[in-house]
Amino acid sequence: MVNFTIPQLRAIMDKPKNIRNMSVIAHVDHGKSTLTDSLVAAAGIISMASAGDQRLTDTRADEAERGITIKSTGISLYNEISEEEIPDAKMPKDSAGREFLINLIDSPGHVDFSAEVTAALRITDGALVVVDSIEGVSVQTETVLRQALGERIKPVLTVNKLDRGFLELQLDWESMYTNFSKHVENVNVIISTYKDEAMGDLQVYPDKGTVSFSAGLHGWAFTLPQFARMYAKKFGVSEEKMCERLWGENYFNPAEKKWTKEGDTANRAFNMFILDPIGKIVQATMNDQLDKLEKMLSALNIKMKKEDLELKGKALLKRTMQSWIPAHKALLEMMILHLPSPAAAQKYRAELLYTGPADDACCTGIRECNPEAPLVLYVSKMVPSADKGRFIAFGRVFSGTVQAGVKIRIMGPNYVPGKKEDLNIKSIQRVVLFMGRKQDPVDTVPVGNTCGLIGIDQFLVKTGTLTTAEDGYPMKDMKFSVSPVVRCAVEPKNPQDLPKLVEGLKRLAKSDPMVVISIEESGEHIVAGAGELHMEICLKDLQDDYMNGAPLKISDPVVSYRETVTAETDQECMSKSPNKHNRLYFKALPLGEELTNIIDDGQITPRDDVKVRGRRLADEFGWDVDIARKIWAFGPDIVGPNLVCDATKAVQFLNEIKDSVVAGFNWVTKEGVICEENMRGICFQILDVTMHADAIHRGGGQIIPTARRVMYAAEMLSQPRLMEPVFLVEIQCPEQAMGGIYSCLNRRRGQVFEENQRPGTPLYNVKAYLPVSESFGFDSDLRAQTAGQAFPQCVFDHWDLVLGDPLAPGKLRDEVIAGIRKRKGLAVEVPPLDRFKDKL
Amino acid sequence: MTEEHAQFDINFDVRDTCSWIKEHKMKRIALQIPDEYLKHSQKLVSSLRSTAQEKDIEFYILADSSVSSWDPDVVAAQHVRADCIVMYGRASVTRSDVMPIRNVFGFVQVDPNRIFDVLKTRIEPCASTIVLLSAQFKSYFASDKSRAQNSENTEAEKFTIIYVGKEGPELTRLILEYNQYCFMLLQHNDDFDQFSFKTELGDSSRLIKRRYFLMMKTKDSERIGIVVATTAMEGYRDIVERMKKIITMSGKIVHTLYVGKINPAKLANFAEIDSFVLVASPENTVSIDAADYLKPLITPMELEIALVRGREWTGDYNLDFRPLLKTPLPEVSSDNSDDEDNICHSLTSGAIIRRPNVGDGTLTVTNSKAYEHRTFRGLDLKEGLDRPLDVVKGRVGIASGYAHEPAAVERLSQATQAEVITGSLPAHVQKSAGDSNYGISKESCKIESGGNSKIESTTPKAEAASVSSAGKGQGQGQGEGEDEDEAHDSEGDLQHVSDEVDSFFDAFV
Repeated sequence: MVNFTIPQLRAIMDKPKNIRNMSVIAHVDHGKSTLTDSLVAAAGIISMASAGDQRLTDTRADEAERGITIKSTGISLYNEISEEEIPDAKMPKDSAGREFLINLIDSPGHVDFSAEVTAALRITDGALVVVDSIEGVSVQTETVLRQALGERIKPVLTVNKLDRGFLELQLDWESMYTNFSKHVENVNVIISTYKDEAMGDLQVYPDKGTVSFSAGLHGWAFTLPQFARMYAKKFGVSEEKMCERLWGENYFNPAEKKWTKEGDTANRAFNMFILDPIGKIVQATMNDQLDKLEKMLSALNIKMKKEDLELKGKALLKRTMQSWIPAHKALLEMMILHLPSPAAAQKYRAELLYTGPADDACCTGIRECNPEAPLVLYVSKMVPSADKGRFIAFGRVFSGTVQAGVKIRIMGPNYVPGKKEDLNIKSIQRVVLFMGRKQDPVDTVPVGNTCGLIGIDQFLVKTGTLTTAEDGYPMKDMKFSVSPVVRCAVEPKNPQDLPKLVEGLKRLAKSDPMVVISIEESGEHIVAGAGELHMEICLKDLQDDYMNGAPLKISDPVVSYRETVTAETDQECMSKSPNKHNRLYFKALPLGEELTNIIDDGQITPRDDVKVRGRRLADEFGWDVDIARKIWAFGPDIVGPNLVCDATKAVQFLNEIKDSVVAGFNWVTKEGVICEENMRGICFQILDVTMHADAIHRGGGQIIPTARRVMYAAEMLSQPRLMEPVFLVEIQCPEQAMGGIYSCLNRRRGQVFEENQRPGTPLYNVKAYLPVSESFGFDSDLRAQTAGQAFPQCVFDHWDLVLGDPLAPGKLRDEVIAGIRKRKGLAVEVPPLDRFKDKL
Repeated sequence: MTEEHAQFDINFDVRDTCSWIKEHKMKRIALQIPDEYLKHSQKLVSSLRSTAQEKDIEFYILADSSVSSWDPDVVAAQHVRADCIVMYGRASVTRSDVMPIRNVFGFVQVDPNRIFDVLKTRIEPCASTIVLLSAQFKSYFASDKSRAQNSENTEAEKFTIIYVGKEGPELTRLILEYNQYCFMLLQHNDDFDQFSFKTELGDSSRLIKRRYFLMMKTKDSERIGIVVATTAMEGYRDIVERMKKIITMSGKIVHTLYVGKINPAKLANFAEIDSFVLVASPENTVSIDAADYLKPLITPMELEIALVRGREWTGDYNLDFRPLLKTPLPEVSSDNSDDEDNICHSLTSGAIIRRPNVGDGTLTVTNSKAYEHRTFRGLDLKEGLDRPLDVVKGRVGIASGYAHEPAAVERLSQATQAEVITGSLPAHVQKSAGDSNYGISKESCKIESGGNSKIESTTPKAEAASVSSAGKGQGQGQGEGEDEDEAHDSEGDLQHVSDEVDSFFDAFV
């Protein structure tokens, strides 16, 4: 039985101080969806009994089948908090009433789907970080936590899967405690690197109630304040005092009835007052000692139904624990007390999220969380509707109130304020609330809430900002932590299905925040994703849902390379225009890894002030100031990590050919000479030009192809190299699997650079670099080699030089490059230098 | 008549051509001969003349077509008031509405047994196979039908087409237009006596993907240029008008261009045009290597699929634009100005784009954003503010190598020697006819005095001056081939071959 109605839900939406928008983030398989179930069950959407098994937020068939979350799913939960759960004195001061609305987003944990997490974080204010009590903080925990902090999202922690400690591993209390405190510490280490004045102290402390301990599968959880409340009366101390004593170096000597700062580990307050009672109940239920259990239950004042007591083993344990310390109580308490309401969070997030001036109506509206202000709504992802034909825009109202039928401005990511590009003025057909698998329509949604919008999907690719303000600026676009480096070419089996493929790809592009669809000059349709699993899911969606039954041909995964140079051009490089009247003299030199990465990160962009940028290049990278001020363009695609600079001295008409040279530059940086891959880290300098006196003979037709040729020649003469993308692989495994891991990595050019044991566990953590081109099938290979004990997580890390001269005979030229060229339909041989360079 | 002569006549189809000429009572015949066969032109003319045996028939040789070697150069033929054109070598089989055209493809005779022998090694005798011979083979398969046993199952859907010839536009066209079939290429060597299979044929799906991509780019363009690359094909004016109408109706801006023989440099001069529609003969269309062009070049049929609403992509291809003219254009209602169809997600740019509203075909002044991104918008006139520049001595020489460059000095000395030869020996005249675009096969009485003096007066010393001062013809005189540029493209290729031609050459020998 759902214990709330949509009108009830809608009413609470008007009280932004009683709303919590939060996402659940964690490493894969640490129990996010399972934990979410308890909260869903508490709201009556699913039964308590099935909580933990059903995983309501895994809405897709393949999610259920694989047991992992693929898409983030939103759900709005209405909760009424009783006096017993949180006493009046403790209630957040600004809240009105005891009803709270939790807009919760369950996110995937696998690295390949990190983009889903990013999209979820943007529209929430708090994050519940879930950490497996045995495995601890993993690479993905760190990645998503850092992302959350970067978005100014307040974290709370839950140490999950306590049941494993009690049942599976049978750990003693003290080693459990050491594990827990280590996990908390590890999380705090990450948090401490983010000092943000606006948000204050973000570290999590068990004794302050920002850490909970849970067993999602069994549906129970607790926080220290909960236990403190229980014991405070017995010990006759205040709850706060008791709470402090339940964590850290506090020991209770039962014989002397005294608190000490050191003592026997068995006497540690946490072990004695929390783990021990739980352990005893676990033992009693698992060993079928019903009389013992009933005694304990009455001591704890828990009443259980008769039929419940007839259950056996784990089912009985689950029922008992759910009755005693239900998970939703602890989690809700933590969320309501320690996560910010939209009203609180938007105060400090406004400046970070809004690209416009801090004092305009929209920004003020966001800061003040004002439902009367102009609408600002950020769409963070598109959710396919039930029939897969259309999409529902899923987002959050940051200011004002969204309502169907009113004309709004839809600004895409390419919108530039004041221009008309990527701007549409349309009205929304319907506004809906997301309730896990289904959606419920509402009339309006006020500030601070997440919602779905129907009828605007054709105006948005993946994300966008909606506003009613004429002069509203868009919100900042999201930055993903993963890159689409794994690519597949797709084509229909029958050429007449090409339009279907194009339509299908458009839908696929919408449905996933990360997937990149592109068409190469050769006409190949490329789907690019973050990893093998991501690709598999995307291609499956494409074929099953978006192609209308037209059969597809999918190529083997391919890697996109980059072309770069490793030395400065050592001879004069000149090309003549087709009419021979114009000559361009160029050279190429490497930008350097550091500068390339800085440009990649968007720290140096074509929009920077010329003088500031010039100064920075001169100071930090030793550039000649004159040249540093005369950067003509970045490429490819306007912002790429290649430059073309004017290094000429006193040349006439140069400004006339600038556009043509830049056009040629964009062309070559997109398609390098070696195998028509993008260039990376190359700086082209124009040394000199000779031009025809008549403007018509130095027009684009003459200069563009010449610029292209001379830059190709410069690239070929500057020790060109290929770069390949490299994954950072993290593998967790027991010691005996290490040999398999090493042999597997060695065969695939992998390099282990870190290996350490997780303290207190027999598990090892191996970190290695693995070229993406070698990663296909790595997953299954590794499992085969280690009897399924090792589970890798691969995430794109950097570009690395490929050894060998791509122009000299050898494996690189004759296999790799020839392969790429063939796939692109080019001549297999790299064209000779004299096709580009003219003799002086 | 020697055997060699007889073979020549067969190869060039002299007898049939003559009877065709006589039958139609033509008097002035233009012979369009591709560059590689120009060396035979003299022989051909005399052979035609002796076979025709009519005094008043005049032959003109057209070389270096100003449009493309695939199309009859109707304009040039009109200059000499020719009654018809006889085209030799590869050509698009097109009809002109200006004058009759006769094609002579066949130059090569092969022993069909050779081909069958090779075919047998690969093909099952009864497999559904179509063998196509490149047009240059003399087709006497027709008379030898016994070999081409038709298999029973002519209904079979999957044919394999074996094309005997060389890779080139003819094959590309076939692959595109019959893209549902599997193609194999039986290649021959230059002497036509050895044949071998080439299996790694660029498959049709790759070609079609590429064409579809270009179409999608065109869909997103703001400005489209119509490039007229034929002046001969029947109906080319109609198709240009039709294209114009389609483009304006879809709210885009249209420019019609005629640039003669097209090349990347010429089209790149129109930097603001986003894509081009090529109105040309089918083979010419695919003979252009689109990879060299900055902007997409598409065919009229592709433009219709891209821009005309309701026209569906079926995968069928027809490079010939004439069938298009038969289908009426849908009427455009102008009330759907804010239609949602105008909004689309473009995969080529990855963004949502708004198509301009449907235009009614009237000219409107728009503040186009096409010029916005230009940084150079013309000279910044600061009249009277700048001090006039000092006069300095410029470079001397021609652009391919100025006088102060060592290489150029060398070349100049070579050029001097060349001049001597040019002035005295007909061998060079003939050589240049074969080599250069300006295929000159001059005939004494028609050479104007200016032309004569040019040959004599071009000396290294005078070169610098002559480049700037002399007319177009002057450029040719230097005969280096390297300094040709499209500015020099001219009508200077039209030569009249008359009776005196032999005596002219005799005079030199």
